[in-house]
Parts: sequence; structure tokens; C-alpha cells
Amino acid sequence: MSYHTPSELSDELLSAYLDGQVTATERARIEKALAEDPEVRERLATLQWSVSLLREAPRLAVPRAFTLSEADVLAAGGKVKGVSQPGWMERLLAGLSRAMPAATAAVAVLLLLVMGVDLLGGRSAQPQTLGMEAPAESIAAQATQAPTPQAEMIRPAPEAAVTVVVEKVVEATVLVEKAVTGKEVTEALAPPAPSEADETEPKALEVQKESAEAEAATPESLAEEEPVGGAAAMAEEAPTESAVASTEAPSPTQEVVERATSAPRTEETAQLQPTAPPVEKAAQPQPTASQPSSIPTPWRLLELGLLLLLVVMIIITFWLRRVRSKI
Amino acid sequence: MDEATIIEAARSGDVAAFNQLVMTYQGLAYNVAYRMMGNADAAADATQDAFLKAYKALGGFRGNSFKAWLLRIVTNTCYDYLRAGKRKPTTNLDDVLADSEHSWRLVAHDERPEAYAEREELNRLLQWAINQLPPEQRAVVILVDVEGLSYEEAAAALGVALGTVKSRLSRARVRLRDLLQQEEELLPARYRLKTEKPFRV
Repeated sequence: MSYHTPSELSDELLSAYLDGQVTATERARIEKALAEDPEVRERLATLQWSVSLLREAPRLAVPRAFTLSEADVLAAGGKVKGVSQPGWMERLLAGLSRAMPAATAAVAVLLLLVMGVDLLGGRSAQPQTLGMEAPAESIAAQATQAPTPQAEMIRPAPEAAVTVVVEKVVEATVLVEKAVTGKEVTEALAPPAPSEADETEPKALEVQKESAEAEAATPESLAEEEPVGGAAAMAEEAPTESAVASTEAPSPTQEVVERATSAPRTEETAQLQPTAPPVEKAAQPQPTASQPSSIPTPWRLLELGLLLLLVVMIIITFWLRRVRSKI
Repeated sequence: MDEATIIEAARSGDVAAFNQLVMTYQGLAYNVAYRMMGNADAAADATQDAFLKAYKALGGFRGNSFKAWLLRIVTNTCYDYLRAGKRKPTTNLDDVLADSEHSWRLVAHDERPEAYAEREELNRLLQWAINQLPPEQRAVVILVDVEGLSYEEAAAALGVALGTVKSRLSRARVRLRDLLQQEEELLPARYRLKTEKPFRV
């Protein structure tokens, strides 16, 4: 047997020697080294000291009892005596009932996102349509609410018509008087066209008629009653005078009467026509995107689908709870 | 009722019978888990988890040492926790020594408060040194030196060969010796090494 120097004794061998886990030969070698070499004794002593500390390590008190409950065992998939194991159907229902609330919430969030995207897409397209609708809406609003200059020009046609008629008749009267006095004889030498000359009296009569109608249609126009009456009187005078003047100075009277008739005629047309059509015309916007299309957009279809799915999932969730409570 | 009968009853689904085994071995299981994890809360989680696994795995118990079989489940559960990084033991000595409001409690002895305080100091320093070891060496030194298992029981509990236990244990002991000698002045007087020439590698 070869002699190994004490320094060749490994710590592993010394450690095993501490536990009696060495062969007889190894034991003899170690004990010989211990007798002859203080370094080997020192190494063994320190190893022994650390092992003794470990063996004196304090025991810790358990913080609680670690006993199992049947519920814990079943929840972990273990078997309990006397408790039937859930079949595949029960396990499936258990899995579904755990997953359904989260899945339902996910569908609800998705539905909200789709609705948000659809809403933002609709609003981004609206500024164009709003731009086109605004004038029509404003006109419609103006027509139905506060009167504006434009609306006033359209709506209170009887009053304006009467005023304009009055003004024109006054103007015509002034011109006729001038013509009669001969101040503008030289200008009035050109004979009028026969058709135009024939039309003056009916036109003048129409003016008289229209002015009377306008007066009857505006009971509020008390402030203008005298001017209207005066205008009516003047209107009565104007045609007769214009008829007289037409033989001598047809041109100016024709022009005057035409002016007198053209204005009332335009006002007449405005008067006769109801206020709604102009407003309606103005209020008839171009077909815009605000008018719902009969064909639903893809986003709307998706919203409807998600909404249906959400309702179905909510029903299933409650049904599962009810079924599991009975099991 | 002997242990074999209790185990048989527990194997057939008798939770109450299994709980008798829990009450018998929970001290051992918890202390091993604490030394492995270095943390009382992590040790409690690992212990509860290990007992649940043991109940479910009773069908695979072959009738050898229930103690070794249970400790194998406990150490494997602790390995899983350490690998998952759930709770890593503290290796900083200052943190360990400053842990005055720890959640662990020593088993009470009929002793003076000064003696209890000394045991607390020993426990802190030992656990700090154990925390420095790799998990495989830590498990061996805990089972053999702390819990007093034989080499064979430790080999069965760890599922390794006897020679592996021997080599891991010796390396763990040498490392622990060096660490404890390094901080020997922190030990209570009665636990210090009494040699005049401390061994230095």
C-alpha cells in the first residue's frame, strides 16, 4: 500500500470521515495523518465545527397548519372519497363559466371600439356636408325664426310689395305730371309700339287691383295706410293720366307705366307665391351624407353583429351560472 | 393506526387521513423549505404546494420511506420556485443581520430570553451562509447536517446517487466553514471556534 502524504488528503475524504462514510483503508490513512500532521487536524477540526453549528441550527415554528381541505383538493384536480368526480361536461361548463365573463368583457370593449371608429369616421365626413347644409339650414332657420333682411325681402311680400308699388306709382305720377306739363315733350315724340300701348291700361288696372289686394292683406300696415291709400289713389290716377298722356307722349308714360307695372308684377309674383317654396328651394340641400343611406355600412354591420354576440354571451353567462349552481 | 394504514386510507381519497400525515411531517417540510428558500413566506407557500402535490401523487408512492418521498416533493417544489425566480434568498449579510422584524419564529425552549436571542443570531448567520450555496449543495447540507438524514435517505430524497451526495456535501461543508470562519465574530461567544489558529485555505 502506498503512503499518501497528509496534504493529499482531500476535504471530501475528511468530510466523509466525519460521517463514517470511508473504507477501512481510508480510515487508517486518515488516522495516521491526523496523528502526524497538525494541519490535517486543523482542517478536520474546522470542518467538524461548521457541521456542529449546522446541527445546532434552531428549528423554526410552523406559522400555521398545512392541512388540506376537500375544496382545495378538488380545486387542484385531486380525488376525494365520496365525492363524484366531475365529468367532461362539468369540467367543460366549469371552464366556460370561468372564461365567459372575460370573453364577454372583451366583446363589449371591441364593440365600443368599433362604434368609436364608426362615429369618428362619420364626424370626419360631416364637415363637408355641414358646409353644404349650413346655408340651407340658415336660410330655413331664418325663414322660420328671426326675420333677416333676406327673409324680409321674401316673406313680408305683401307689405314690401305695397311699398314698392307705392313708390313706383309715385314715380310714375311724377313723370306723368312732367309729361303733361310738357317739360319732356321733345323726348316723348316717338310713338310707342301698339302692343305695348294696348297693354298699358290693363297693366295699370292690374296695378290698381293689386294694390287694393295688398292693402286688404296687410291689416298691420296702419302706418302705411295713408301712403298705401295715397298710393292707391295715385295708382288710380296714374293709369288714367298715363292713358291720357299716352296719346301725346307715349314713350315716357309707357316707360313709367312699365316701371310701375314691372315692379308690382315682380312683387305680385312674389306675393302670390307662398313663402315656403323659396325657402324650400333654399332649404333643399344637395343630397348629403347626413341622409341615411338605405344600405348599411360595413361598420354598422359589424356593430350589429358584435351587439348580437354580446347579448348572446351575456345570456350564456347567466345561464351557466344558473346551471352550475344547480349542479 | 400505523403509518402504512393511514397512507393507504389517504391513497383512497380520505383527506382526513392524509391530514394526519400532514400534522406529522409539516414541521420537517416547513423547515426544509425555509432553509432552501431563505424566506418564511416563500417557505409556507412551497410547503402548502408540496403537500397538495403529495396528496395527488399518493398513487405513485411505492411503500418505501414516506419521509424521504415527501422531502423529495418538498425539495423539487423549492427548486421550481427558485428556478422561476419567485423568491430568491438574501445573500447580503447586512440585510440578514438587520432583519429584526422577521416573520419566522423559533421553536420555543424553556430558556432565558438571552439564550433565545443567541439562537436567533446563530440562525441568521447560518441562513446567510446557506444562502450563498448553489441549490443542489444547499439541499444536501440541509437534509444531512440540518435535518440529520443519512446519506442513503438524502440520496433517495434527492433522487441522486450516494457518491453525488458525498461530493456535494463535502463541497458545501468546506464552503460553509470558510464563510462562518470569515464572520466568526458575529457569532455568540459559545458558538465560536476555539482554536487559536483558524484554518485558511
